Amino acid sequence: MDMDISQYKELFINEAQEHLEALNQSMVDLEKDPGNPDVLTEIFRSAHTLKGMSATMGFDQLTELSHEMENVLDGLRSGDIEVTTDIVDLLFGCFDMLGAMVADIAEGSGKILDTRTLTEALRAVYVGEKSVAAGSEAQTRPARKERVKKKSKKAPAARERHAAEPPSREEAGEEEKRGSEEETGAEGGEGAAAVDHEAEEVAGERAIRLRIILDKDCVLKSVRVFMIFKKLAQIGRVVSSRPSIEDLEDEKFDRAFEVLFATAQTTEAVRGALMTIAEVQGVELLTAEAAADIVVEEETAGDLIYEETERPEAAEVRLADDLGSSTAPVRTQSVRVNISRLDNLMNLIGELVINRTRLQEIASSQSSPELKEALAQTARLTADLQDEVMKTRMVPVENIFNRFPRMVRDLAKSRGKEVDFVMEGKDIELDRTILDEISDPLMHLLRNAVDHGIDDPDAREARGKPRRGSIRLVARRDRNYVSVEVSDDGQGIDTRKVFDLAAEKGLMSPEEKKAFGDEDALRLLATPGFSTAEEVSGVSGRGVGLDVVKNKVESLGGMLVMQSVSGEGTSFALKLPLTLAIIQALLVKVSGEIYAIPLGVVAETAVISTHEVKYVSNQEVIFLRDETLPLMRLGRYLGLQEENGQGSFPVVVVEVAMKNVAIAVDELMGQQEIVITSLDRYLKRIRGFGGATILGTGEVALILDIPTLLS
Amino acid sequence: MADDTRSADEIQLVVFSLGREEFAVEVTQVREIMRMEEITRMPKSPDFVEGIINLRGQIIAVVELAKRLNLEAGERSGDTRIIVVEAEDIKVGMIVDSVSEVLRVSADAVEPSPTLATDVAAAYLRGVVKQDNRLIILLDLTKVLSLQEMAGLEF
Repeated sequence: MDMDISQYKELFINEAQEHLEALNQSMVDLEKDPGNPDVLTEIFRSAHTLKGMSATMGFDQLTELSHEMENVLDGLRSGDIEVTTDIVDLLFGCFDMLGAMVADIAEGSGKILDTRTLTEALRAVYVGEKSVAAGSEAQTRPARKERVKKKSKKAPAARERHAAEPPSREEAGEEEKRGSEEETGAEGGEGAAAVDHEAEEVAGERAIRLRIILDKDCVLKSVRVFMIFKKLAQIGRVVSSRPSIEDLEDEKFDRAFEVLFATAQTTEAVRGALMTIAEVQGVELLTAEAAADIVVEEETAGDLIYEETERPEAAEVRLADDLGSSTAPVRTQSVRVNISRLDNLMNLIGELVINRTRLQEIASSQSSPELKEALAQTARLTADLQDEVMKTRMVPVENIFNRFPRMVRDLAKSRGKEVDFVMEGKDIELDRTILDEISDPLMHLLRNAVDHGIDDPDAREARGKPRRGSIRLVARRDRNYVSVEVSDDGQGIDTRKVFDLAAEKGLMSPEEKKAFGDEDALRLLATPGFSTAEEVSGVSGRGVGLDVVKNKVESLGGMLVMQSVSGEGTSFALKLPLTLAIIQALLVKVSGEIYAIPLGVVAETAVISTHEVKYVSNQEVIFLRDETLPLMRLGRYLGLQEENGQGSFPVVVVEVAMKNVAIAVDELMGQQEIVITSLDRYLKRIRGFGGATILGTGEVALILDIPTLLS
Repeated sequence: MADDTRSADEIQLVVFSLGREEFAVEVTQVREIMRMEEITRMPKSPDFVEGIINLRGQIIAVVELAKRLNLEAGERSGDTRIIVVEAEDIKVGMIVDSVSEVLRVSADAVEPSPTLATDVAAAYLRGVVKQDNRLIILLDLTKVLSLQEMAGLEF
């Protein structure tokens, strides 16, 4: 019953990255509130799990470094080591190194990273602490629990051993066992001794049926199963299991599974051995019989449903408060699904929606009330299904927010600024794809806020502001949009300077300057190349990449809104659609072809008479409510044959970059919900299209990507 | 040619005609062969890209193979077919005048192409197969579907 561990690699990488993110997050919290035992416990817990996972998978480098790190964390937890900026920096360094190792594992590059500097620094911290702590232990920790003291006495020995030589894989495993089991009182050493002792007394092999229950927080269930089977193989042989080994490997079980196990050991010895494996919550003996009587029974469904009442050991084995503290995030029942599966599901729903529309078109020409009723039902079900699938793609913004505190902290530190970073609305959800896309833009805005928004502490004081600047990252749900806002209370953007510079660069006329507001300033800032204006203090660098941010947000069907008050601060808000896959679009027809324009960019539609078209410097324009709009004839622009519009033609007014533009089309076909199908690699290089959609008739219509089309 | 070393191997070819010449692609690269259908134009694309079609929910590009190979295209007729091929993860439909057969030949039968045998640029060829007085040109799909030409399109 051998299992191949390599298949757990992806699972491991995911989990490890999550733990590292949690570590970074908690460490930022810890720095703000150094004495908080809950945060420390959380850090210790994550680091410990990471080490255990690494040891299980045989990633020695990771295990080694996280082990060294854990020693320091242990010191922090016990209060022997003080939380200082240096130590926080050192630990952040470790997290980064661990992250790099995980990335290497993901790439399979097998690089050996140099961890010596970090390891030495870590050792210097906890070895130094130990010598100091030895003298003052009695005074510094009078109030601590008995249990913890006992461990502290034991710990130095282990530390010395590991300081002298890196832990081998077995030792690390042993370490893990100690880490999680010592609080339960089930000492590994004693357990092992008991096994040896009793083994001599038992004569002959017996078969026992065991139910093994995993901890409810157990994350790498299949790996635990692997470890359990490995351990069992050392002390006997597994005859069968329920569910089957394949199902166990695939994690097709809840928390408990049964094994029929032939062994010469006593039940207690077997239980002792299994309980040394982390995240095993309990082992129950179901039946015991002579080996000769083993009958492989047929599996019965529902056998393994875990019941609360059948868990006599639960109380004994539950991890002590120390590790299972109330600050631990509440895990809900969930399944990991590859994002491509969800994409496929979404595509299928998309097709279903298309077919539904088609059926409705057909039904409208039939006079069958039954058909119509059945279709109405189908339509409702499809809508519900679509809704559910959309929900499964939604993830809390927390997923990307969590990496920002660390980034802001590091950046502020390196720039000599003092910043309080506040995040709100972390539980607001967005489509996974959108979330991935806005991570970089947000990072960019935050970097700008620290770099250019927040002023130096001295400068702030001189202006009567608190020395510490404040940066807020707030997610909010507004009807069909999610707004993510980055704001600072820094010096603000001097819009006059922006306009002066724009006029200088010939981007605007002096008259325009007077009428312009914040929105226009943003448009200017987001103009590629504008940002090179380094000579204007307070503006320099502000525009760096703002054009990129704006384009990204717009390509997602969203908007970037800026507000700035000189001297008081700046805010950038990303207004994003909840989901990408299905959008509202305006369908238009140009020389026989149908195109979809995302409704997000459409300001209005109008019908224009041919004689209303004027020329301004050789460019066709139209006047719409006192506004002069450049006219773009879509057919001509796309190189299609143009129809000779006699009399009047419809225009779609879209909002892009600097101005509104009127797009002339042959026919407006109305608004419709469309499913976006992305273009493959072969077609993606053709700019101006955001994808395609399949219409109810089965026809394919291209979706115009207005910003890139007009840029 | 690398293929020369796999002596005893057999390969299966989908043979089709384009103008006056016969061409083939390996059957392993062919996903399906379909009748001509309504094609949505793809503006701003190279002229050999005829447009896009809906292949059971997937949007794929359709190229006029004759134009791609700088040959004269035949008239569209009832025999016109779209051969959907896949190479290097790209699925593309190729319009051909007609599809004649699936031919089983030994890999040895593929000879390096004499440059004068066809008007098609040598870069797109994998070799020729001589069979009963016929000369069948085996296309190198990777080259034919190369994105090199697409790269210059950004505007």
